Amino acid sequence: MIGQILIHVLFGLSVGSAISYWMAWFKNDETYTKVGRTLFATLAFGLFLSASMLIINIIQHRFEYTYVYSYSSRELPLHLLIATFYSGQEGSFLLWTLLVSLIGVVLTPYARRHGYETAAMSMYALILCFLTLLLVAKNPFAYYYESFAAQGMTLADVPLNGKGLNPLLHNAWITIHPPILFTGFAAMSVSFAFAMAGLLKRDYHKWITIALPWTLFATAILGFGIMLGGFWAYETLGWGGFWGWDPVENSSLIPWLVTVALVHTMLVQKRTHGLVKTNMALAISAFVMVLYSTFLTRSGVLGDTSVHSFVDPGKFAFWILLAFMLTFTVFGATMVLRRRSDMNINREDFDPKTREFMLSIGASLVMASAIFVTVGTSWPVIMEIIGQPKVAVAIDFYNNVHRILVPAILIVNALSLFMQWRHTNGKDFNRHLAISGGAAVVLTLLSVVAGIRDLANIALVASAWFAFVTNAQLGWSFVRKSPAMAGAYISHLGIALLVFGVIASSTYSEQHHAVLVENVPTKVGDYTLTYTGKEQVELHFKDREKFRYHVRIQSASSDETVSAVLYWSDFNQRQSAFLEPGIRWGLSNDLYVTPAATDEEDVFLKRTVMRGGTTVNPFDSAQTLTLERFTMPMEEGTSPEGLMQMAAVINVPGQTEPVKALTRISMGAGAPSFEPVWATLPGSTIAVGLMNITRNNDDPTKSTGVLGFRDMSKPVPTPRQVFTVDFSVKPLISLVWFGVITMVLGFAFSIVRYSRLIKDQRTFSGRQPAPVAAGQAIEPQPTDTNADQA
Amino acid sequence: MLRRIIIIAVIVLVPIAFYVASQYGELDDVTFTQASRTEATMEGDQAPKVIIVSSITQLSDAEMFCEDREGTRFKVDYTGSAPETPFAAGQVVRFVGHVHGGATGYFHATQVYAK
Repeated sequence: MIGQILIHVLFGLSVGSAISYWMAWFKNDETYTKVGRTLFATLAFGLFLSASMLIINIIQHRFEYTYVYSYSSRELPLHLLIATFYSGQEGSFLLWTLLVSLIGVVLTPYARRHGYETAAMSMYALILCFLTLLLVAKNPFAYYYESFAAQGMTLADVPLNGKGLNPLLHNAWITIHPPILFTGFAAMSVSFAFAMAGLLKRDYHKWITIALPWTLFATAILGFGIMLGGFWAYETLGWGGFWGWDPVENSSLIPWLVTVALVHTMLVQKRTHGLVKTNMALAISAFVMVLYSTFLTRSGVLGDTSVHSFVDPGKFAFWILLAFMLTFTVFGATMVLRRRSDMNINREDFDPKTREFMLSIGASLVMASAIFVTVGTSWPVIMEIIGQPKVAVAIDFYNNVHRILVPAILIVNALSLFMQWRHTNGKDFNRHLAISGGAAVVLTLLSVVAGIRDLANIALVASAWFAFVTNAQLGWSFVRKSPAMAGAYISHLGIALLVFGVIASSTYSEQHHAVLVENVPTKVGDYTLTYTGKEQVELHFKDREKFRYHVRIQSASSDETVSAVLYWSDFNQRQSAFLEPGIRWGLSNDLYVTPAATDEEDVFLKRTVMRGGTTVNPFDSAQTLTLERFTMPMEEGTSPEGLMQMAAVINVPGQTEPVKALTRISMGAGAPSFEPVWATLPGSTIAVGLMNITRNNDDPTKSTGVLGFRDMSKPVPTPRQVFTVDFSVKPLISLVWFGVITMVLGFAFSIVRYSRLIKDQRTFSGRQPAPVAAGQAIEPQPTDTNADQA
Repeated sequence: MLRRIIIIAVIVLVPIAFYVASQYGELDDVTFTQASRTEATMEGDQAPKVIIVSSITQLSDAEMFCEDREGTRFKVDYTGSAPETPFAAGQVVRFVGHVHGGATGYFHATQVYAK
């Protein structure tokens, strides 16, 4: 009960904080600011408290709470118990709200130092009003008996165990990926709050400097979170890829793309005081896209169009999500429109031979990518609105669009680096272009010799080499001066590496389907695979028998063993298997073993035959047998063990009496299992047994059976285990991970750099106060002309 | 110049985005036999989603049977939201879903639209 009350109190605190800050803004009264600040701090503490309570409820297995019952169980180890905190909608909303509030705690003094507290925090507290209202609607402290009152549950009904965590989530990545992703989402609120504060204050330049490190942080952390999601999918889900253009993936990518564009246009404004309205629009769009993506993936509107399951959050939460998104979209758009004439200060047309021009084009291309991904992700909703079948666009839509956009972005990136702010010296530009362009052409030709053939891939590789060489060449010169200035170049190098990895792994992967009989080496491509046996793991889980299957992979130069996992679980009523691939990680390639099926070796010769059909005795090709009919269970009665029996009545040439091959049928959890009773064919040692019957309900005469044959004079060999796998060799996939890590590292360098610059500017402002009137803020400009990329 | 480029690009790009998406976001209108054939030859776990214009021939609490435009009779397992007009024998609708294979294959429909 305390938890439920606390959530309502938190909503009250957020409303109180927002009202106080807004009053402070309108009345310009410091007293209201202090109240707002105090209420905000209390709200953050309250959210921390409620998060702690939820964690304690989960760890103590308090199944009287619906959330704890729905997502955790007694068998889960501690790290997975903690992860259940954000495995459901209620918990993930709480995590998001908590992170927004914690960032707000750091943001408050920062904004105060820059004279932005009242304006920025009034927006920020408003965001928390909606988030806490969502918690009221999706309360993680709802009781089991309340949630299941319709089923007749009372206060006394407390489940002994929870439903448990989806087995797909049972790995270490769940403890890392969601918190990082939500930190990225939460950090996206900051640039929005500063942009809106800038609009409120009619201060259209200073917010850029203040918000830039936060925007870089949001971009870096969200990018890292997205990469971790891809890595998780690759390492755990076993479909062999790291990106599937699924709505859940796209919902993180869209705001990230917008914020990448924003970072670059912020740099243009910082340097030229241009793109004022663009930056306002992009800062608002980045946050609105977080809300839109949340709406798409949490409102249930995309149900049935994704591999991820989307739970309908209920009508109240649906409308809050919609109102959340629309409020900030309308508020932001209205503010931009109302201030648009104000923002026309310093309006100038950029010369095409300048860095600001190329950066603007680059940002537009990134935004084009965001628009295409948004349209593609929203397609099912668009179709539903116009009354058409709700269907997602094919993955090729995204791939083909980006085959054009990515090379364009990479080329523009390289060209922008050759150019200077305001004016570019034609000679320098041509010299740089000749060196980098020449090197890129040579490296592309080498790539073609190495095996890249497809025209689209050649274009991608050429542009990636161009960007790589340019960033390496110019970046190196800055590393020697000051490593902090190399952030942009490091990030761009990371992107180029990522593109190399994507091309190599997606286009040039080798794939094989292999049936591995236990301890029998099987040649698969250039490798020899041997299934060496299995071991049961995680014995404490009663809903599954989870096995690790060991596969030895040998080649001329290596000999290693990987372990893949395949099991069925009661969690999904054993409707589909859960699997984890076995991966041999490598710098030049990964060897990827995806389990497909396990079975026992067939020790009998089998033939499928239809009623009235014939089959040849596999031991005697001169003998043709005819399946006269199948007998019914009532005709055969039950076996001594009480099992149902059926039989295949088989006519043997030269015999007047047919042979009856019985089978005993036991009904398991899934399909029935058949145990043949062997019937010897007259005059031989060969016996026939009925191994399976597939009944055709519409037309019983078309029912089929599988007959097994064996030589009774020989013992039946012990069947060996058969492990069927999909084996793939993925060249240079390591570049994908290295690329993203390098990109994030570059962002870290830039965050340090711009934070230092702000400090320097504050020192500068302390000595000689800078005017803050619209468009007149004076900022010290860095002396280098090439370093002002993110 | 930049302003002009971006304005023109936006005006052109958004309709292009919608047009291109429409080319990749259409479902094939097929018969049950065609859908079953695709299911049998596909590589993925689930058969591709398709539309089958179906005439409901038999309806009970437990089962629904339909006929496609070729007259092939097949079972439909509908798991979508409640249709605006309740299902009735003789009704012709567009089912969206995919085929489940096996000897007793059926069509798993998740959406239904009026013809």
